[in-house]
Amino acid sequence: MQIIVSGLIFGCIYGLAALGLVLIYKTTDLVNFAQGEMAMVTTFVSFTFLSQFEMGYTTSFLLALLFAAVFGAIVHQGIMKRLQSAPPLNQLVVTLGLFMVFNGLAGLIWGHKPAGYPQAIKGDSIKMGSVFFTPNEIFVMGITLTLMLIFFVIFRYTKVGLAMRASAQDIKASQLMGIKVTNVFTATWAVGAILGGVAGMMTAPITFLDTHMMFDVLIMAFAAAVLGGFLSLPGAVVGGLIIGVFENLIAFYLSPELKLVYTFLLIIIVLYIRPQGIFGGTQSVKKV
Amino acid sequence: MLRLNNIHAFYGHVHALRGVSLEVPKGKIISLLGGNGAGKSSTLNIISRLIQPKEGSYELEGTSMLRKSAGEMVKHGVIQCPENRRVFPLLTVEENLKIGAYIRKDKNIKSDMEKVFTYFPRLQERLQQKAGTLSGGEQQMLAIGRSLMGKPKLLLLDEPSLGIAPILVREIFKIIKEINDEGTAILLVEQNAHMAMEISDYSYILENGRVALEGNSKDLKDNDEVRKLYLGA
Ligand SMILES: Nc1ncnc2c1ncn2[C@@H]1O[C@H](COP(=O)(O)OP(=O)(O)OP(=O)(O)O)[C@@H](O)[C@H]1O
Ligand SMILES: [Mg+2]
Repeated sequence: MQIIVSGLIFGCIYGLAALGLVLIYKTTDLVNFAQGEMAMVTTFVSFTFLSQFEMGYTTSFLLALLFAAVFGAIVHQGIMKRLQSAPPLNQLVVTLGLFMVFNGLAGLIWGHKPAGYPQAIKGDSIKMGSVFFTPNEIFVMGITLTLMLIFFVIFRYTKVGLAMRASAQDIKASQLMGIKVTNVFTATWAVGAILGGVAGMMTAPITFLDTHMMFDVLIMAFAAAVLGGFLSLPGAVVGGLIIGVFENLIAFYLSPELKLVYTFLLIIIVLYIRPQGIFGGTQSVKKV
Repeated sequence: MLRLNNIHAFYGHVHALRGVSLEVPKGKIISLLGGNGAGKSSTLNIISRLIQPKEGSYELEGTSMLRKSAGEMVKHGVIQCPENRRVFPLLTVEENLKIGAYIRKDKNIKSDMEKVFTYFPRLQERLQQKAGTLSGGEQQMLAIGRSLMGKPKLLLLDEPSLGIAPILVREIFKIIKEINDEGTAILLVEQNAHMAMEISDYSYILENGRVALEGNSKDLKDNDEVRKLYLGA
């Protein structure tokens, strides 16, 4: 049971990162490979607030999210916007390039030595039934579910969400409705970067803070997103949870080295049975 | 209400519009005819501010529109129903209609949707259906309904008869006339010159990005050259 619970915590982090990926993909039709590195940079920025400016955790957390939003908006306005009508493959290569650039820059600025990073909430474990939760774990789960719910509701039931979905489907028709498509995309990038940033700041206490900290998380987030159908927001989180738990079980009962292999084996099996992902309707077979 | 004067537009090196001038008076139906690639859709996209002309002037009710954004044109009540319908395939019929009213902040959106249903009752039956699963004719109805949700003063229709059975075309043209009778000016782009001249007051015929001919629709219909080239007579 305890293994499942700690798996859920990783699952939440994967889910959060996947949420950011799916949100950007759903709206701008683009897979953002730089997502993890943007999250890593955001986490470093929060660490700078924490350690150099000696601010409190909450202040640093919120300021870092503000930074993430601006960061995401700048990446879209400055770079991705110009590629809006470029072939998808070109856009993809650019996000891969950004991955490298952000990783290299972070190394230059903050160095390559891993540093410790504090948890959101300190405190002793609480016992519920036969399992132990730390307050921090409860916080991670709470924030993941809350964010998922918020974005699900926004996407599904608000005017902004409708504009996001319309922009994803037909840019020209959306402009003819009076939607400022570029602004919608920029906002989506900002939100995607925020989600990634939260995932990053939840990851750092577990893995240590260094420039490679988000590599595994990004891969798992991709896996989670694919498992969830890549277009479903709850699917991304559920996919993340499944992968987190599964990975932890493998690591415990079989071998920690093989967890990546088995996790992808699971994904291959799931996709073999349901090619559109668990939550993917027919919609994931979009225009090609 | 709308006046284009000597509009030139390019796509890269392609000189698509070579000095188009036209006028849409308040409350009238004007048709814009011509063969494939004549520049009809480009003209509508100039009016909707999706493309910027290299040269020429564009006025709406006496004010130049050349610095306005596409969104501002929608707010001015100049609304385009694009070629090939372009409904949002993954949104429901209801959501498609709602997004037609995206720029509006008034409280009459619900009653305007009812109004759309009186024109196209079939849309009401399919409110929760995904637009992508509608038939071509139904999608055209939805596209027109969606434009109406923006409260157009000037409705730009790009080939509403495209790929639709003749009976339905007749019905759609009847509805276009009704929409016009309620005071909305219409600029109707058509390849179906016969039907378009039937319901319009005045027609422009484009050829190679220029207005080759213009005149009262009644007169043009009897023009020998027009009959030979565009009416297949
Ligand atoms: N996005 C574009 N890029 C390059 N050239 C274009 C583009 N859109 C239109 N053109 C060219 O501009 C010219 C006018 O095209 P336009 O779409 O306005 O014609 P049309 O009269 O609407 O034709 P149709 O009846 O076939 O829709 C054509 O030669 C076309 O090839
Ligand atoms: Mg056209």
